[in-house]
Amino acid sequence: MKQGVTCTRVAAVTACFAVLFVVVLALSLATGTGGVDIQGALATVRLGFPGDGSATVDQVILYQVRLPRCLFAAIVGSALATAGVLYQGLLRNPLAEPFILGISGGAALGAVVAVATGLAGLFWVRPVLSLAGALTAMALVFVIGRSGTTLRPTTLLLAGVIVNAFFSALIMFFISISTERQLHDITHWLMGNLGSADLVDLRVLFALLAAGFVFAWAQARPLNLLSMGEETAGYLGVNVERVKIILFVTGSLLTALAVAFSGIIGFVGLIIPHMVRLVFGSDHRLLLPAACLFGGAFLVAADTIARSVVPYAELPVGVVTALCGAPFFLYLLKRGESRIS
Amino acid sequence: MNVLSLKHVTFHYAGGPAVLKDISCRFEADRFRGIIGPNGSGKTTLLKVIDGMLKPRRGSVLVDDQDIADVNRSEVARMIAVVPQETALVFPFTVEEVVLMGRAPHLGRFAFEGERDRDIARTAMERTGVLPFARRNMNELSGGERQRVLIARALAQQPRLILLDEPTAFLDIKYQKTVFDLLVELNRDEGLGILAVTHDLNLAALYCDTLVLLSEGRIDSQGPPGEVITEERIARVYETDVRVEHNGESDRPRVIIRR
Repeated sequence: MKQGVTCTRVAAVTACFAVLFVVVLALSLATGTGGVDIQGALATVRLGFPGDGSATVDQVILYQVRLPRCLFAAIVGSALATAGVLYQGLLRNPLAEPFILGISGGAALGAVVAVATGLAGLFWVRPVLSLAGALTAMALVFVIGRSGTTLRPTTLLLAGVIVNAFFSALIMFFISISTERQLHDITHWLMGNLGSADLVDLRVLFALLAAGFVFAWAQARPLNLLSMGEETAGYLGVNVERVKIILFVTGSLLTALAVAFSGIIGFVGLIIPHMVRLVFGSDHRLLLPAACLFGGAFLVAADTIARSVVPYAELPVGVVTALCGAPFFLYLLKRGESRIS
Repeated sequence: MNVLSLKHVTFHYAGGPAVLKDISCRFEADRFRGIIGPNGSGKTTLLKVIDGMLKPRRGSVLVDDQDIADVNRSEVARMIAVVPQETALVFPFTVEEVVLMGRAPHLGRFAFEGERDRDIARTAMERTGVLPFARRNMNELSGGERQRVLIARALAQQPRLILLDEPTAFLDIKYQKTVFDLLVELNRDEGLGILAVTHDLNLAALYCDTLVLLSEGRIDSQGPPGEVITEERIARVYETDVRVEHNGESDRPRVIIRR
């Protein structure tokens, strides 16, 4: 059933995922508590968005609320899924996900500091602090995880765990001295949400995601060879240490990009790569574009549920992804177990 | 590449004692050689140094006349293929995909394997008898089948020299014979150089043209099996009392442990 990966097959599968992505995006645009249904959305889309201030309520909801939000969800989901693929390949561990190396801990600490100091209300303070936290964590993990001139997966993992634990302690400290109102904000952020879509310049985010993806895609074959083990990859001509650094930096930056603006949205980066692998095999030349598009579509769908399932309230999207993700993860685990025994 | 030579190679891992001490030898790329020696004598390290994965602390490894450290890794992989002792696959890859990975050093960064690469991979799988399970998952295969897949991948690299690390470590005698018969064929029919590290003195003596006996990081002796494998030498290097039998006048001695 599983054929070899050819250029045509990659193009075909990518095209299928692109279609899926567009369909999900369209459905999501037509869903919500704002009153615009599918027919309304279609009619509104046909009219376009007038730039002269004569926009109707429907047009405003569609173009200024839902569209940015959907695109933001897509970018975050794509970034997380891509980072998940890179980390799983780098660490050669199927349980690896974007938050395993401490990046999320750093970002969370930045966000919590922003809230606890009362500066979070200022326009860019929270994302900037949280980006700074993510980058600090990344640098720390790199320095701690590097033994001599090599990046060892196990050392990296341990470094990530330690950095995460240390940052968690600091987060607990800030939570313990924060007010009730701040506590609510912090919890909301930690659970992950896409409410800050209107704060970000989507074009910049998209450009960063695209750049990250190109770097990732350029490592697709080395990633395949790496999954046979570092030594084998070396025997097959891969410059292993250089590739590992590129994977670490690209994966970490994509993660930082996602968490800085949307908080900790779990499971996307873990399950999306596995779902694609289950159906299409492990070749990264196919896995990367497919997981990137599927991750985007998945988070758009999850966010649509999060913002429309309870009337006049919004669930954190992290709750939805975890509710979908945890059972699937269990399934993977059990499946792996039965395969071993 | 015609000759690979080691010149006064010394190696130690960071902070550790010397593993290889002043090793000099030549490997012509059309011979079948075995490297034997007790545990910890530096056999596997020697393979990695020969392939350029580990850099000698002193001395050099030369491919013809060029230092291997100056040769780009893909080019090394087009000359030398390594069959590692075992491969732990984290993600599921099919046999065909694994064998096609051997084409990687021949392809540009963004290139896909073409018809020609698939033909080469198919021939390699035919040669090693793994074609019937080309579409199967690597993880579902037995030890002997996996070993032959890895040899197929090495063949797909179209190298001049194949290095093997304990190719028969986990195999029963049937597969031991299958693998070594195959190596002899490749050596004889296609002029492919074979350099196999092995613990199995009898297999080494039975199949290799020449043997290199390592002892504590030095070359104790090298030459045809009949010269290298003697009672006195094996007893000394392996610190084990053995009897060496010669089958008639053949140059293929047999080592028997004395109780």
